[in-house]
Amino acid sequence: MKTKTEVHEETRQLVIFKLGDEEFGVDILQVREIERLGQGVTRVPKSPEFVEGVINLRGEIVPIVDLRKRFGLVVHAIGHESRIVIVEVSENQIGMMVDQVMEVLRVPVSSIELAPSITKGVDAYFLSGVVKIGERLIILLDLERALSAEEVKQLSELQDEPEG
Amino acid sequence: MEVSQYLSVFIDESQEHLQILNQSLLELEHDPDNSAILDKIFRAAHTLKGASATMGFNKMSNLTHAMEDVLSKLRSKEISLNSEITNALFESVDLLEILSNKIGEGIEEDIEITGAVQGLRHFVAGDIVVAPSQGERRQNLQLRYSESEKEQIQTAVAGGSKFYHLHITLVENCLLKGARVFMVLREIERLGTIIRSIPTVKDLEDEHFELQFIIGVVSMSSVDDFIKAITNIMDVDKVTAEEPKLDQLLIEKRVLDVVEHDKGKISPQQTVRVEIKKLDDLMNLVAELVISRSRLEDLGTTIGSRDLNEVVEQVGRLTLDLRDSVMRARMVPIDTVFSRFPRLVRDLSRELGKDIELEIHGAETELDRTVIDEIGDPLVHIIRNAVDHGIETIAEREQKNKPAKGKIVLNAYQEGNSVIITIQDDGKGFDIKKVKEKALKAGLLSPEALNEMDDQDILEVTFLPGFSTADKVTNVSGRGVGMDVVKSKVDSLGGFVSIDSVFGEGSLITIRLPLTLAIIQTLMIQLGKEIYAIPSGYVEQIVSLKPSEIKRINKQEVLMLRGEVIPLIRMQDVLETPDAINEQLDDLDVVIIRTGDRLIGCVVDSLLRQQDVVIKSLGGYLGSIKGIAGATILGDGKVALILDMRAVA
Repeated sequence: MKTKTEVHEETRQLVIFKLGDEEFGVDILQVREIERLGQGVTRVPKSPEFVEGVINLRGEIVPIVDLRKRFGLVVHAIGHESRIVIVEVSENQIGMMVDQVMEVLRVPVSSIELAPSITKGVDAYFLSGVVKIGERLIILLDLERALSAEEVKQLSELQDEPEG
Repeated sequence: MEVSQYLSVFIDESQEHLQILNQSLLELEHDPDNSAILDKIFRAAHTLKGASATMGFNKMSNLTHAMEDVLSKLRSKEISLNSEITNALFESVDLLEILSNKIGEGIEEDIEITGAVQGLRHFVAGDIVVAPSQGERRQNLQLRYSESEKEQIQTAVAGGSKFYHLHITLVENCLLKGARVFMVLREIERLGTIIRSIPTVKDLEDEHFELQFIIGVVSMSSVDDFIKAITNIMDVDKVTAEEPKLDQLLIEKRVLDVVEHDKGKISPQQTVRVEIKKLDDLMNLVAELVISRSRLEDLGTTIGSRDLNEVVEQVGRLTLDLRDSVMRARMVPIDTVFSRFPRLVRDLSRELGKDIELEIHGAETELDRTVIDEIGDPLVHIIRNAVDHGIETIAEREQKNKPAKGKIVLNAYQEGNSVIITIQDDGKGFDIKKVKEKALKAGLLSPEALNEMDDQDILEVTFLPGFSTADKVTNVSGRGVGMDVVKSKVDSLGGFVSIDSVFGEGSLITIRLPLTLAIIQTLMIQLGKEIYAIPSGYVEQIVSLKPSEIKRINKQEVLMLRGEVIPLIRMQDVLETPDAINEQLDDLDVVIIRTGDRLIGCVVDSLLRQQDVVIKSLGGYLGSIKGIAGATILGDGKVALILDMRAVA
């Protein structure tokens, strides 16, 4: 697991953003840039449902994902605070649609806790931990898993079984 | 000297020389008396020797030195070419290839060359190569005539004159050579007409010669008259005369060269070596420029200023010219791949006891460097297959009343934006029954599926993974890689491969490749609010039709076109596009596409325009999505997807 609770004074900088009504965070080292939703997103047929499509980011084709759809969160209409957070995962640039970018927070590593199995409706499999700051609960994403198209197939198969 | 800096250049050049060696040795094997080929081989070996010695690669220079010795004996006709020598030379070239690769990896030492060097020395039989003596050098003077001079001589001879070559040598300590020459020439001209001399008369008068010169002369006088007249001149050491046969006159070298060019030889051109990376960078920049150009054009249309449009048009033209130039700079003749094959076929057919002739056409056809690099292995595979499984043994062929010598024809040519490569053999062809059996046995297809397929479909089965018709696995092919590897490679290059075969008569494999990977011509179409690019290579025709013209066969919409039934596809069904409107239109735009042998009509909402687009990858995250070949950026900065019509059909 990625928790490093034993180290003192070590901090991490997190980019905090809103997906639906929840606050999420990712390590700033994984964030390449934050873009406004400029020109439209081109839909890609036959791609996973949470893939919104692709955009042109200064000549590069970058896929855009909507994690709200993936996690079953409230999907607000695109507003003037909507942004695309471009992250780098396994050498690929991926854009995440978020409802609002809140702030960059420095948190002590020791404050990062293991995520409970289900946090605000999101499976712990996609999370690397949670941070409590006062009343706020910030959910840290494990981007590799959260964005992996492979994982979602397997997971949905797993979830289907007990129900079916 | 800082060696490493030159190493890559050295290796590149070595590879080129080795290729020349390989190719020319093959030519020489068929045409042992052709001294031009021998000269070419000698030059390549010589250059290689010099270069490797300079770089300090002793093994390479020793081996090329030994080759050079054999070659110079061949040139001076002291020994004549036989299969032993040819094989020894071929083996040396192989060793050199290994050496040059090892040098590339930084290790030369592991390779043993003593055997090969001794093998070569054996042909020279320990003879010491002596520098040519003066006598030999004299023999090297040869008179060559132009065609018109030859005619002049022929006319004179027909009129009763004699034609002589006078070999004149002055004494060693001759002073005032020019004066002696003047007197010699005057005597000769008194007796006859000088056609030509070597050295030229001017060089002779300027004393630009050693001691000997030759005069070609036509005259009514006898040889003796000449010899007497010239010997009387002071300081003339020796005069001999010969009457050369007219049909054996040497024609000027310049003329000879022209004849060789006509045979399709490629003349040396001035070149600069450029790293492929730099060309890639240049190509990317041009690609960006092409996109900006479309953007400018869009702007021009919106603003509608005539002055602006003029400039836009000009910039557009220049951009396209620039793009074409850069593309051309990346093009290399497919010969770089083809030139490996004569040797491959020669070695394989020997190994298998077959007699096979490889015919190559269109080796000068050019393709993008990237495509060339990728297409080599698939072609090797196809040719190996043809040699191993296609062409029968000599005995089998004679039994079937076929010429004992099998034939493989390799052909390349450009067709529009594609290059077509065909590989045809006159071997046994594919046995449809056997292909079916194999497919069943390998569990690739069910008996029902096979029954519904026609012969052409069944031939295509050979492209399925896990299919191989070879009964026994031989050293040559059948190593577990099959035509499926060829197909996937060609597919990945955006090309097509197809197969035709008549059982007992041979097979034909056709590969169609794009000229370049970076930019393709497309037809832009609209569907709902979406814009897609269909690569023009697929587009057979565009038709417009009324909904009433659409027929139905078992619920499948079809279109009759020139007596052919063509299935219709509403593109929104394939692409899951919302708000497509073609169901409501009174005039339907249909793009007829061809994939392989099938025609399919794709119904779209509207046709926008033809446009050259730069292909961009969708990236590793989305990976390959069925039906999408890539994406491109439109003039307005939006992304349009490029369709892979094979997956649509």
